[in-house]
Amino acid sequence: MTKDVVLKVDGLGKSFKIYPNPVGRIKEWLTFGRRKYHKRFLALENISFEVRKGGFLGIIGPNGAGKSTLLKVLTGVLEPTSGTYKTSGRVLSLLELSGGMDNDLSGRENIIRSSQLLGFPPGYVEKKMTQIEDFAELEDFFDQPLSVYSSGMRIRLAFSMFAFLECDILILDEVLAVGDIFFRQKCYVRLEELIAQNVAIILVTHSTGTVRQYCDDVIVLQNGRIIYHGDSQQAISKYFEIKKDQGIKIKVSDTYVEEDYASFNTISLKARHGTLEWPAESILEKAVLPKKNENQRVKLIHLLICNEQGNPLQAFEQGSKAYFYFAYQAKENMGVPLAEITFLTPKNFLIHSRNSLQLDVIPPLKLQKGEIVRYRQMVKLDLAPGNYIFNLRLLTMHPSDFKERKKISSMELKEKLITVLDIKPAGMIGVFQQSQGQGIGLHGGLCNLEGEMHLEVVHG
Amino acid sequence: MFKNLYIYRRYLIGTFWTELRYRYAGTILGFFWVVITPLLEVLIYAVVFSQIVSIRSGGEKGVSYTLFLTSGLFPFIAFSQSISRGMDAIKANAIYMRRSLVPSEVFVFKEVLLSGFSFFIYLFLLIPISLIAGNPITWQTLLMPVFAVFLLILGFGMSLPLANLRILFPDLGEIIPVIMQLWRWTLPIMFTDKNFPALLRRLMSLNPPYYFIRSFRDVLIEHSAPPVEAWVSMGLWIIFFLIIAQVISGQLRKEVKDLL
Repeated sequence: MTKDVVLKVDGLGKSFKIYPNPVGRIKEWLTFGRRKYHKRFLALENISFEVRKGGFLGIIGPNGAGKSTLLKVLTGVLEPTSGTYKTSGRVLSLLELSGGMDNDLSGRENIIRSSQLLGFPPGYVEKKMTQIEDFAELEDFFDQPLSVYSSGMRIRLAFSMFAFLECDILILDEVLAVGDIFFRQKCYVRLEELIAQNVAIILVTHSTGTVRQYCDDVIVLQNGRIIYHGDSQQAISKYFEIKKDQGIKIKVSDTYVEEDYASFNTISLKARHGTLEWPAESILEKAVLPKKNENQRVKLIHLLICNEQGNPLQAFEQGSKAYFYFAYQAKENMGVPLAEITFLTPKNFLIHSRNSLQLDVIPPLKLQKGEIVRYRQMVKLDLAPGNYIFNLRLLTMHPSDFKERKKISSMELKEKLITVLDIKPAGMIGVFQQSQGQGIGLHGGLCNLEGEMHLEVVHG
Repeated sequence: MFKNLYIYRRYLIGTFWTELRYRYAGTILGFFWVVITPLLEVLIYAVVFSQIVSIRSGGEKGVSYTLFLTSGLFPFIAFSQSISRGMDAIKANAIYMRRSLVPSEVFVFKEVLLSGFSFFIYLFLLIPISLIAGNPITWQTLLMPVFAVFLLILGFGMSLPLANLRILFPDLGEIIPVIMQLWRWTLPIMFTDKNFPALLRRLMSLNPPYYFIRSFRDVLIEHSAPPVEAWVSMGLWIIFFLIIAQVISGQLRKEVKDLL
């Protein structure tokens, strides 16, 4: 191990034995393991990486990818089935944070207890107590039993303690996803101080924003294997690819071949209203539609999101343009075909929605049974980094109402709109931080509102 | 095993004291609860056996049946407590074991220590009971704490493998308490084996806690140190079960952790 490397993981694997029932285990024991009654569940497979002094390694991956198992192995709670890992120095881990604290003891007593548990000499943590107490900002609660703490307070306590115990490697598991934003920010400041002191940090998280901002090295885990190891931007893209495969089913193939793009140029279509740029069938076919995509009136046949270059993507840089391509077929004669895309935060906060009327497109007045309508809607993603959900609503209205649309009030207009098919959620997109906005970021809050600032100094 | 206990001694003692403090400070009658169950049991057995079934303690020295019963029942209750609590220790502390490196024997040992605490309360209770029964306290009584410690070590040696096995076989959690109930009838606790045939007595003495329980009576009622065979038997059982504990918990350590 070179001098700088504090953690070296080499071909690490972990599998669990799964018995159908306890009787199977007894039978296996009775035959001295000659007959096997268990199945092996491979939680980790061939994991290798290194962490250097002062490094900040991020581990991301969907639920069940093996992140927690990996951390448990690294902290020594679980033993690996194959491979090795070497650590130099003290490893501290905030695994299953605050779960192991004693409800009867006060915050202060819990800190003393935990430091004993972690093997610090007596009196060590007492010296750090004022620092910990100040950082936690728990005031009077610090000396009250944990049973009166809120879950946020427990996390404050646990993080404050770990942030001040000396170690060489600090392992954090989803810690910073919780707690209020002010405290979270303080935590990051503290983590940066620790890195400056040459502490290596391993962070397991779902927050791609955090990973992008802090981690110089990121591992993407899926099904117990490292599917990507490298810089954060690429890692986040990989991560979103997995996510869209898993969660909301909009499947785009994992590997995009160059020739796919070649055919994706302006293709002349026999559309009733002009020419529409439309992706090649080969790309569209790979996209999996949302579950609910059909009723007796219409059937959604395509849905694909691409960037300006025409590459199907799931994660976009802040401020870039996303092109939503979708097409549906009418199963009966209907009026004016309209559509609307809505963006929501994962907490269901409506961010933005825009429909055909608002975009002032001129649709055909009627749609015959069997006809297919293709749409391309561009949205500029001037949004904060994060995950967003989008809904797709197909609408229609009577041709005569449509002709009157600019004369009637918006309230009346809303009543004339008929929902044909409401797909929610239709999918998810990720927005990651723009490279030039690194550090402080482009803006705060959800939306990037255009703005300027001027200043001058006036001699008084 | 003992090395681990030594490494985590501070944690062990720390949790032991806090648990003691909060287990009893949180209840109104506090320590009273520790003694109420065994006293009630003694009362029930005393009424049933001396008044209804009319078993005598063997009659020697005119010692009352109540003292005879108490001196055997109290140690056995403490012993079975140490096993039932010790064998639950891993399951109850799974939350700590999942996130820390503290080995399982520390938690089992802590539970045995806690039942050791009630054990010593029982021993103190034996003194007034003995005096009321008209049985003098002699210097041999000082040996009682020694046997208590022996019995607790035996309890530890039995509960550590059980605690591990119980994670793999959840049914054990239901079976063992039943066995503990039946077990007390295989020992001369409620009755004396003085008048039993020699062969039966021999067989009964093979029961691991047999000499432990008898030694309490030897020092309290007979006022004599136990015979050599008692010391040898106690020593052998302790060594035997500690080896079993070491082997089984060592073998299962990995698998148990995976299952927690």
